[in-house]
Amino acid sequence: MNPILAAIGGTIVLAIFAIAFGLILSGIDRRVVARMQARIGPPLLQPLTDVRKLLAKQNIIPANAIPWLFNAMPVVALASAIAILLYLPFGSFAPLLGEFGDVILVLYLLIIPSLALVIGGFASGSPYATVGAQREMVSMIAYELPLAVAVIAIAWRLMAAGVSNPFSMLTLMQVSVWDVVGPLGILALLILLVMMAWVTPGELSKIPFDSPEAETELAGGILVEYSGRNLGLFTLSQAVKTVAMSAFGIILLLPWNLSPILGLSGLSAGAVDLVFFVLKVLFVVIVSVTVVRTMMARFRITQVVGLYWLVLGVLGALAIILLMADAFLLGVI
Amino acid sequence: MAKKAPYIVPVGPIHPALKEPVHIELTVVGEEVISADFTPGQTHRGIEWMGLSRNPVQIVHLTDRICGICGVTHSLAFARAVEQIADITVPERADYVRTIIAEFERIQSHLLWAGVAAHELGFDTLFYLAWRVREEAMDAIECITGNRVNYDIIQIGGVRRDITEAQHAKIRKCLDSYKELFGKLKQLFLEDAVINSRCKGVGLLSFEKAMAYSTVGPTARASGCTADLRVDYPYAAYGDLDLKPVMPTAYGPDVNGDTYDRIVVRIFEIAQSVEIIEECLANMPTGPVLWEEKVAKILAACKKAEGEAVGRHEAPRGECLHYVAMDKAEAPIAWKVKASSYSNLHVWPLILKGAQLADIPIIVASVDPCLSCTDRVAVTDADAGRTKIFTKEELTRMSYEKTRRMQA
Amino acid sequence: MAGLPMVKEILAQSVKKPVTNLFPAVRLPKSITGFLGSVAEGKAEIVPPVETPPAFRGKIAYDRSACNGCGLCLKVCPAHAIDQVVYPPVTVQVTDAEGNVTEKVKKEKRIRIYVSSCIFCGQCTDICAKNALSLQNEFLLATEDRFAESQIVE
Repeated sequence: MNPILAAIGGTIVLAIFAIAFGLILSGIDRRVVARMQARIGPPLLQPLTDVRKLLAKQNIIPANAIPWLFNAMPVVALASAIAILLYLPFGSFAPLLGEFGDVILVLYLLIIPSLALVIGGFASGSPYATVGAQREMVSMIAYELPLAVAVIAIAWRLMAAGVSNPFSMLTLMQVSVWDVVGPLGILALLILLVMMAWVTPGELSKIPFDSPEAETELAGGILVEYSGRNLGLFTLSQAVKTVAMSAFGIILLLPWNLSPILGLSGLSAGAVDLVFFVLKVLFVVIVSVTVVRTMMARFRITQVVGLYWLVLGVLGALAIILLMADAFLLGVI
Repeated sequence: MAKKAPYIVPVGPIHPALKEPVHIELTVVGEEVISADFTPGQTHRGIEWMGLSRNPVQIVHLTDRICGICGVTHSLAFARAVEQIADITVPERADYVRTIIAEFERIQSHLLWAGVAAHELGFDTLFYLAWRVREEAMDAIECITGNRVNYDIIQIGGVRRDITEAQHAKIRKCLDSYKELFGKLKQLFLEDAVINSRCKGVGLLSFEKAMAYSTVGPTARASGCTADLRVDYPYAAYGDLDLKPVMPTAYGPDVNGDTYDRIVVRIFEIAQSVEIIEECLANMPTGPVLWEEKVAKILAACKKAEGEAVGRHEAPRGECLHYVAMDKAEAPIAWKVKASSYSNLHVWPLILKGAQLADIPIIVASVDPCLSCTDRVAVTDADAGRTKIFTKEELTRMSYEKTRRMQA
Repeated sequence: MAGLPMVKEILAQSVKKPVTNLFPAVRLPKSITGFLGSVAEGKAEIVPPVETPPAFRGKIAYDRSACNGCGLCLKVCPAHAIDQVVYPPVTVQVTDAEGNVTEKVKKEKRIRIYVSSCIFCGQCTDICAKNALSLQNEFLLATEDRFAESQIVE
């Protein structure tokens, strides 16, 4: 088969899967939140219904906006969110373009949907959106640090263990970082797991890190002027980003698959691993998004920076030191 | 780096942070508010004007509708004013029923506020929890008065419904559940690390400023003013009780006058109200609950009344004041409502100055604004499309003129 | 968890039943008015609302035969929701105790209550000497037409 055609076909399948899965995830998230707040919550497929309605509605472009930039950004956000999927493995399915990009690329691609939001916010010409866009930039800078620290720490430890090409997704799929470390390393990885759990809601702009959108103070912040199809596209990109961010966390720190344990191979192994992957994503979303956003109040933007840079920064440094000590004790460096 | 130019962030008249329309204009540099101004008058409904063509028995139920939360505050203040003019003595038992209802109202109002405050902080779970436990108080109120929101229980000369023995069990159950809940509420609101970090030192109102701006209620008490009408000028059954104003020192060592202290005061006032209701229930005197059973006779007494009086009540938000003047006619010749929020709103520009943009919702909410109670007048020229703001001098001149007209 | 007391609360709540009362139906019907219509016809089952307390003040009921048209209720209605209706004089034959039949011109006065203006204070029921007015338990009164049949009691 023509590799280009295969890539295009794969992208479409992946995009449909991620959009549907992401929207249902948001439905599950809303149901679980509702249960924890003693409510019943919307039907599971409510996000799908919402998006369908949004896509059918009129786009309103504010008078102060820069129309082409304002309209382009939702498309950019969705396209870049789907692009991340091409470099991420799903269960035991290797990434579609695995040989062309690695973890560092995903790290950069994850920024683009947020960047599109920022530009869209500035292009809206509303004071709320402007403040929201400024905050989104600040929080992007804030959560990139612990995320990069976690990625580099894991890759460094793999390299120290003698794994070649530690940044490649294919390597991460084959070698679990948990297998190469000693007891101190396990402690370090647990710290990294906590860090990733705090970075995920930040990356996805959920309470307590939703100050760019901050409903009560900015009335929706960045998205305040967006409506109709544009808002629908942003909702879709958010759904895809949820899947992508969880998949990224999973490949870094929860990379196990069921098929080797069950001794399966071939198509059935892929299917079982995919189901297991879906369950892992669900677990990640519920633990680090749903529960966190239910149990906390919104942070001020200064507190967001403080948390990510000081608290998680120190934790990250501690994890790196522990990993180094671990590598030293095991005698690999 | 050059200093960033200030820009204006309008909040309102309609905004998610506001539960009622008011316009707040903030001048912001970066995330910091450098000055704030507000324009009330967006919810003016002309209730005072409606009252001037109605008799006191009608107005007392109209006052229930001034505020959506304080169903008894305004009627009690108004009834107390009319009772003074018409020389009506309220039976003791009615005083106790009034106190019980007023305290239930304080419980539900403070819980409502607590929920709103949690929502302003982005803490929706706490908002749902506060409003869920508020239902207990609403149920008890419903059991006593018949309805949840517009109680309509106050009548000139007493109350319209007695609290019977049969209702005691339901009320006691409600009070017990609050006693049990209090520890949890205290923990959830006052020990939460995020609420602590978002509210401590935010929206500071010093004791001097609180006095200078004549703030009332929990806003004043959180800044260290021991003003509480129930203690200072006891009325209804409050004189029989041993009350002390709730101060922030009930929880922490100091009085800071910040948003956190306002939460402390309100949470502890819920506990105080539970105690008051319990004491009132236990010590209720027997007797009638109305000065006169026949409404027609109350009407006749009001029609003969002449004079002026001020009725006051410590509402959940602070002192509420009604001025009524009657002149041997069906309708009063003057009726003026000063809701508690009227005194408290003026501190907004003061406490918003220097705040972070993120803290505006909670600072605005921390004085527990009730705007539909407060808005008395809006001067708008619809044709010219502009609103006029009267200066103090103009208003003073106009009130002199009105007094002269009334005396003539 | 220290500093986050809500964690315990939400974990406990997640295994408890929600407190929402699923009025009027468990699943949102396609059309609420259509659903209520089929409930009225007995085709569908409604999830009952939370019970009203014993002394609830709902929609007003008017006992026309007990009313003597004195109009006291008009004087105490804060919302001016009550109108006095004076019917054209009718001649009625009155038989007195001795069996004499005399003709008498009778002016009938009754009241009309506009439910859409009523604020449910119950003042009129207090003042009515003939006990012709009472407040019922009914509270689902919303309609699109304020002069609909259900909105006028007479």
